[in-house]
Amino acid sequence: MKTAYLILGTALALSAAALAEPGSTALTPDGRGEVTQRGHTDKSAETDSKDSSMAQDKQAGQVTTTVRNGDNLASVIQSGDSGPVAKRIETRPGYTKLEQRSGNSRSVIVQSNDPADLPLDKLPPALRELLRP
Amino acid sequence: MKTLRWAALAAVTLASSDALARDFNVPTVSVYGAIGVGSGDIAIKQNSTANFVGVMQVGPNVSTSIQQSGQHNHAVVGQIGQTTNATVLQNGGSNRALMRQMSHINNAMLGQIGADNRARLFQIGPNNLAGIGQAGAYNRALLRQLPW
Repeated sequence: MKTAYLILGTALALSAAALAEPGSTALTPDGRGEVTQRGHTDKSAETDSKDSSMAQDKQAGQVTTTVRNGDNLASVIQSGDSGPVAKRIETRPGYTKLEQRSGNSRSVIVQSNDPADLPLDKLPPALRELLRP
Repeated sequence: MKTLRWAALAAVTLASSDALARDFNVPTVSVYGAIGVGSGDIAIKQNSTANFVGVMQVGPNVSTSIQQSGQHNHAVVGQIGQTTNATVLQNGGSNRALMRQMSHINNAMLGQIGADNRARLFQIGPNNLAGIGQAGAYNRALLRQLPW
C-alpha cells in the first residue's frame, strides 16, 4: 500500500514539474486562448485573434504546429528533415490557414466557419456543384 | 376470397410506404468497399443520407477519387505504392475522413463542407503533398507527414 502511495506521489511530482516548465504556457489577457511555444520559435507565426492559440514544438527532426481558433483546430506534424522549416499561419475570427514546408513535405490546411470563404469560382463546375452549400 | 384480401392488404401497404417515402424522405444508406491491386484509378460517388466508403489500393501508381454528399459521410482510404494520389470531397452535416498513404510520392487533397468536419491524414514517404480544406461550424484537421 505504501509503495503505491509512493509511486502516485512521484507521478504527481513529475506532472507538476512538467507543467511548471518555464515559458511553456501563457494565457492571453482575456483568458480564453493560450499561446504555447516550446523549443523552436517561429516569428512568422502571428495571430490577431484573441480566441486563437498556437503551439509549436520542434524536437529532433520533428516539427509540430497546432493552431486553435475557436471551433477550428489544425495540426501539422512533419518529421525526418533537419533542414529549415517554412511556416505561414494566417488567422482571423472563424478562419485559419496553416502552411508548412519541411524538406519535401508540404502541407496546407484551410479552415473556415463561413462556407462563403471557399473559392468556388476557381473550381471546375462539377466540383463546384458538389461543394455548393 | 383469401387471395383478394391479401392482394388488397399488399396494395394498401405499398401505397402507404410510397406515401411515406414522399412525405418524409426515407433515409438511404450507401456502403462501398473497394480493394485494388496494381496500378489503377478508383472513383466513387455517393449521394445517400449516410455514406460510407473504404478503399485500399496497392500498386505502383494508384489513384482514388471519392465524392460524398449526404447527412453523414465517412471515408477511409489506404494507399501503398510508388506514387499515390487521393482526392476526397465531402458535403453534408457531418464529415469524417481518414487517409493513409505510403509511397515515394504522396499527394492528397481533402475538402469538407458541413457542420462538423473531421479529417486525419497520414503520409509516409520522401515526397509528401497534402491539402485540407474545411468549411463549417466545427473543424478538426490532423496532418502528419513522415519520412520512410
